[in-house]
Amino acid sequence: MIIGFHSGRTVVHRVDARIKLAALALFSLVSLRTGFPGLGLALAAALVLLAAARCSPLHCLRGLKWYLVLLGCIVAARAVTTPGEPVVAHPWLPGTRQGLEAGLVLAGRLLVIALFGLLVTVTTRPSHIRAAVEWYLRPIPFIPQQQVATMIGLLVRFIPVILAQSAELDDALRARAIEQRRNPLRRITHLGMPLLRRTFVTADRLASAMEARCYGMERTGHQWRTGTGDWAALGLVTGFCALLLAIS
Amino acid sequence: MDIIKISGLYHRYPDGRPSLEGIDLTIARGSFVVLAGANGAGKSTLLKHLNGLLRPQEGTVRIAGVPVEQDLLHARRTVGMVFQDADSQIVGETVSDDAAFGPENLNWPAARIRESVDSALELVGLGALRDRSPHLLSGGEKRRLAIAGVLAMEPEVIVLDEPFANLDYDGVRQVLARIVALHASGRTIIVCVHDLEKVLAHAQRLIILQRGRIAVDGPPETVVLAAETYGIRLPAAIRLGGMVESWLR
Repeated sequence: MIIGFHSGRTVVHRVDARIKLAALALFSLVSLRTGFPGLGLALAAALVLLAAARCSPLHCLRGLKWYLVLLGCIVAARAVTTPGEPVVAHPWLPGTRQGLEAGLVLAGRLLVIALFGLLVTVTTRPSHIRAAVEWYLRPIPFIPQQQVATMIGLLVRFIPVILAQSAELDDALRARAIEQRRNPLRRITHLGMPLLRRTFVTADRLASAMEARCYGMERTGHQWRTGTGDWAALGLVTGFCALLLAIS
Repeated sequence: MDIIKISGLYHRYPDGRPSLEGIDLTIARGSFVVLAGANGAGKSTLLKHLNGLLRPQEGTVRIAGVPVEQDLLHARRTVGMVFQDADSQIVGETVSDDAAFGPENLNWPAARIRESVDSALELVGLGALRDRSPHLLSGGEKRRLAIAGVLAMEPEVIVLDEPFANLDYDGVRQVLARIVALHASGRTIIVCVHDLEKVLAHAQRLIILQRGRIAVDGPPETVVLAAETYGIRLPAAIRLGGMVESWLR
């Protein structure tokens, strides 16, 4: 359960959510132009910040194990498909040095972005992330920012509910020997249709419950308190990004 | 003084079937009322009229003297509704976010929201779990969070639709203890159930609905004897000639 908010009072927890989101966006853009030295520095920074936020880096990496497998596949695919000088002179190991390097850079960028994203998720209340998204959408015309923010919040809240319902339905189908059906389309239909129906029923009940609790357009907004520490954090991130660009 | 006054309330489903037929009912401020009935008797439909989720097709529903359709916000602030399925009622990403949802909708100042959320979570015993994701809570805790979400709006009346459904013994006792405490603090409680066993010992009034009409209404000890006539199981203690005991003992 690492991909979720962990309450705490660390320096990273205290930074304004808008600044964290801006830093994440800035860092993601900069990482597109970063090479091995910059990526190494960024990876070290991400791990140090996770530790500073009282979130064990090892625990985080373990939580991302399937993501790491995916990154491994990306590296292998790049190594095999990019033409160039072979890494090993063996017909069964067709990877090239250029491909391997390109794959490692790409995987490194994705890993570092994921770790910084994780840092934001772990140290920021979901309601603050929602409020920050709302704040960034405010200047854009024709976008109902409060409704968008509420939709994001509901999505975060209901993904586990829908997954739990899906697992429950899957168990019920397996208990009635769905595995005997050879046609995968039929199996998907048997799972998908009741799941959709349940999801719509849940959505209907949710709408009633929200109405009963007076949901409307006029809501209390988030109270932002940006201090010198937040501006210092933004300055540090900007400086760090400039350093990454410089050494790459 | 009556806080809820319903007169001549009729409601039909979209396909024309009647769900409520001429309900006349008053509920006194501070009372503890159990509303019982078999499935399809019209209990949930009646409850939805109390905070304006359904509007009277015929008749009137007055909350603290004000017709519901005249001031929906007043009705929803006065009557807090806890639904049967807690999972589809909880909208926040954390326990405290969910409790704050109602007060935020009422556009209260941040300090007042914080105060009401803290007090509501403490009252239902979830103060220590305020940062937890709701999907990690147990069934009883989710039901208590649903109650806290309503309590944070500081309603005078709390309506609970099947609050003990799908709960184990401990979960039932946790939720029941909170309901009894809320009643003791002066709130009007309306609990809708189809199984009287768990809550009857605390009720001051029992109303049984059948096919959209009030079949019997009065003190629990007399009304309960007619329960099985209307498709509700008689509590075992009464069947054996005794009195229903509280589940909190």
